[in-house]
Amino acid sequence: MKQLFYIIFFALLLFFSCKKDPITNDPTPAPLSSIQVNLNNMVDDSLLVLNKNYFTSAGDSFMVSKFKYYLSNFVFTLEDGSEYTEPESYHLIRHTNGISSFTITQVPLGGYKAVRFMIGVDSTHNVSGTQPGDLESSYASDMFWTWSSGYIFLKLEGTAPKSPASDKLIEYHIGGYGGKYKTQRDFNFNFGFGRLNVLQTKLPVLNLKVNVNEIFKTPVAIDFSSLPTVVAGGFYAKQLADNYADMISLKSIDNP
Amino acid sequence: MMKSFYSLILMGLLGLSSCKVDPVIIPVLPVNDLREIVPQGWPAAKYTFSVNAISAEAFVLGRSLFYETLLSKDNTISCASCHMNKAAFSNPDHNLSHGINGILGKRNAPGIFNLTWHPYFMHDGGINHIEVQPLGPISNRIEMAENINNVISKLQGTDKYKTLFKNAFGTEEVTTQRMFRAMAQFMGLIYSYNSKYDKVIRNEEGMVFTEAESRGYALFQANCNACHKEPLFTDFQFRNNGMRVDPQVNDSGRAHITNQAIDLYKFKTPSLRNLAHTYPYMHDGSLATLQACLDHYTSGVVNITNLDPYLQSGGLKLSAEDKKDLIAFLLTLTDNTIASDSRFADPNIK
Repeated sequence: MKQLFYIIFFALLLFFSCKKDPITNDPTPAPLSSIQVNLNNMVDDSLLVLNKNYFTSAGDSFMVSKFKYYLSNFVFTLEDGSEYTEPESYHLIRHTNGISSFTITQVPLGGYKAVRFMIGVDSTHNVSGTQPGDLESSYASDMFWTWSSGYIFLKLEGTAPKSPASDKLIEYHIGGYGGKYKTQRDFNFNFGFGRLNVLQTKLPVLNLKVNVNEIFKTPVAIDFSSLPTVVAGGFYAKQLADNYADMISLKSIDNP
Repeated sequence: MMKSFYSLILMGLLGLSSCKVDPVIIPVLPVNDLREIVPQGWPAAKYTFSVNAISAEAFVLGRSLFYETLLSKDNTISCASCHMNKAAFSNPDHNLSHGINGILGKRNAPGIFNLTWHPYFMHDGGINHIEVQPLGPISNRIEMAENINNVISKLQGTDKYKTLFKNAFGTEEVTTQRMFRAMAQFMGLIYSYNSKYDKVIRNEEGMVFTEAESRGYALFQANCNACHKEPLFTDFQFRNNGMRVDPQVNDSGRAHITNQAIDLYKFKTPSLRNLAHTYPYMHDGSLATLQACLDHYTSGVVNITNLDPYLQSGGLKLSAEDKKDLIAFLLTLTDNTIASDSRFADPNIK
């Protein structure tokens, strides 16, 4: 009997709340909050500044004029092992000088102990036509190959004195969503004793370091004189993807 | 309560002010009976409009975009410039497509019909979905050469498209997804299944093949059907049919997409439907007539890398009589309903 009253009570609440405030029409406002993800795009220990000179680990000079990549399919693990999977989780990071960031909203409250995500876009979303949100921006941001369908997962452009290409250009457009040359790469970070505390009133920050130099380093050292450009999926794209597989590391968790 | 009162007043004011603006004239052509069709005996389509609900408004928008020159950099070329309604949406005027500033393309414009069965698009199969297909020609430097951002802002700046997008999707906002889903409706609903061949097969209107057509059909089944598979008259595979490689163009075909040596000079098997309209033939538009095509298969096949196994050992064996009969049959694949259907016509022509 009590239950019935509760149901009627909530139904009435819902009814009135809809009339008064059309914005919050969620019948059971679950305790949700947000996580900010910061991408510290760097070259080793310095923040990446566009068109500034840097050196690879092999000592080759280069400049970056454009650096963009997709991070997707974020899953956060709570203390008890349960998981929060962000729906439609596609984030296009476009580097401008400074820290790039985005916010994941509607996250259930709690202490999170781990996160996993990937560079790239899953194969399903590469073959399902036009998409909304950050995937839609791919067309306008030149992060989609229009002649050979598929998202460009990572794009790095710039110059290097060693490049034999015209204007000393270096161009790496990396993608390829399936088969032996697939270029999505997974990342999985455990916070150890630390916790990412998602609270109603505070915005915790997940700080990730993205080291551009890792793209040129291991397992295959990239020589600008022999491989100045990769602008399609395939063998070389996979080689660069194997390199960027350890490009991102966990910098810190900031609980305000 | 108060809020809705205000919105009423607001709408009233809007209504008033809009009276002062010249009304946008949207050409109205009948777009009745829009629906997904799978003709009897055909396989299931690849694209089913499940996430792109068919509506007259979206179709009208898609049609308008198909005939829209704002899609190109210098506003001179639309999809219909190379895909003409009268020619089953192919281009009988050019063997190779012409882009902006008269730039000569590398390939012949294929017809547009029965697209929802295609697992991939373009002669090299590089595009994997009907909704992202228009991005190819729009952004290709030798075709429409335009940036999609510019297309969106050009469309957004016109009253016509404000109205068309609002009618189709509820708001005036132009997005690529809206654009391309509307275009997928227009292009995906161009069906071709009412040729004489179809009516004979369906036993309709008392249609029967002539004797020459019957002989041609038997020859077709013996010689052509392995690749140009009924009822779509293509197997959607990539094959090298022994065309001479033009050293100027040096079109690597499917290998351009896969970077695999085994795909060098292979192209998607084209449908034979509407051949009467889709000349000139082959991916490079180098053969002007059906006779020339059949002559190619009997005596013109060039033995180049990856030549199709069906064409090795000297091509097809067909007599001059056989070819006449075969052509008689191939012409029964002509479906004139595409050209006569006013739903597919240029809405800008009054």
